[in-house]
Amino acid sequence: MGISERVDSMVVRATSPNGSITATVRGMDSIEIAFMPGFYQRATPQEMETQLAQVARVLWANRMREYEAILNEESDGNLIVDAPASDRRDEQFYEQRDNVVAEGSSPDGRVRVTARGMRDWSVHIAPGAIDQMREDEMTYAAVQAAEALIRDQMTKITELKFSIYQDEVDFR
Amino acid sequence: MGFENLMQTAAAIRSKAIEIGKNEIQESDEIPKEWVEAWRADVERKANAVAGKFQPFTELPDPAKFNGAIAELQRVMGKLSSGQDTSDPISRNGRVYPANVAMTKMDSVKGDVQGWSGRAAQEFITKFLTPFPAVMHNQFLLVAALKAALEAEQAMWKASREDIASIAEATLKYLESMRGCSKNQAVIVFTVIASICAVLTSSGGALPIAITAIGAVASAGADIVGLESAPKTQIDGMYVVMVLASMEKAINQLVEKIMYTENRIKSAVANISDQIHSAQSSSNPDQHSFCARRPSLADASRGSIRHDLGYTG
Repeated sequence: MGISERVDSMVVRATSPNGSITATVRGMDSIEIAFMPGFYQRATPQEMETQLAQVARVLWANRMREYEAILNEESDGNLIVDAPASDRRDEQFYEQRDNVVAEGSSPDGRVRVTARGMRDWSVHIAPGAIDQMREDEMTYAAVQAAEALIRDQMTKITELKFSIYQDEVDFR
Repeated sequence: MGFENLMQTAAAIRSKAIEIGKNEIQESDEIPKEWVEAWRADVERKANAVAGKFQPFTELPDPAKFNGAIAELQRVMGKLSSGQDTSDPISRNGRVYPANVAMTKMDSVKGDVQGWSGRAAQEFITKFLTPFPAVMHNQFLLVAALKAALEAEQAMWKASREDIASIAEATLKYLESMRGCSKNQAVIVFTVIASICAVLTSSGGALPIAITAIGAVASAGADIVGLESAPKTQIDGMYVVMVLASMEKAINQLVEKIMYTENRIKSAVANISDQIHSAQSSSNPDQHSFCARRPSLADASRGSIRHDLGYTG
């Protein structure tokens, strides 16, 4: 199995600090979220937002570690992730990437997720949503918001790359 | 993967490059459709050229084909071994060469010619019999040097094959790593320069002139490799065409390193040849280090020898 296959089939999990939420990412961008029994019923909106944001941060960090481990194993240590900048463009790329703000929301807009540099995560749940939505509806909405955020991050990185490195490709 | 599958890896690079290149830029307000099409066409053109970059390397000499000649020289070393210094003086692939018992008969020749006197006898002893062990040992060293040169060639081609396969594999792996948000780098270590060091030990001061020439190859390689800093290059780039450009650069660097290594071996062998030639062209037979002058007696016939020499036919 090569890098592509291993990345596509990787499964990474994370649990929020108080153990109330478990999140899983499969492959590049497929997310699953599950609440501990009873958590959804007793959680305050603020607690729900905090725990979701924290599990997302840990999940993404774990995902990056796993991704790097796969690359490392498949290349016998010869593939360096985020190699040191070799010029000003690379420095610009790293600086600006750390400040990319990715966003995603559920189709009904009741769950919104943002992440700066995929490190600082925040989750906003519309007032009253927890009371109005069943548990499975909430996890589904959170999954959709998270997956939309990952797509947004990828799109913004594609644009950032183009803005910085397009001159190095003579295609026109 | 590996050298045997070099062209399959090259084909995989082409496919992966086109697959990734298709999605590298998307039509948007800033990027018109024509740019996207031109971009993809550029990627495809360069991806289609990948196989041609690797194709010439499939014709690199087969290292296994040196085995016959190396074994032949090992047999010669066995025949020339006096038993004084039985281990291979140069090659790390060497072995012990037990003394050739047949050569001990030379000792009995001394006894055979004891009653023989006159100028021919004196010259036979001083120009052939006395220097014989030294000449034989020099021949032993010379053949060891030639064998080491062949082994160096063999190691060079083996490492060249491994290095070109490394470039292909690193390129493919790099392309596969491009889907994320990171900026990666694949490191390639060229083994071709170091390859001949693995074969040749450094030449000791005790080795005669000609041998130091081939020994110099080893020490030069060791200097360059520095035992820690084997030359490296990298495959990188944020876009497929940049990655393929770095791949091509790595291939060109490998070609330079193969030529450099080949030239080191070539000049060492040329040096040996020059040294032997100068040692043998001396008018003083005592300075002929590698081949004693053929004794006149060897070509003597019954009619050309006086009976009082003791030669009875």
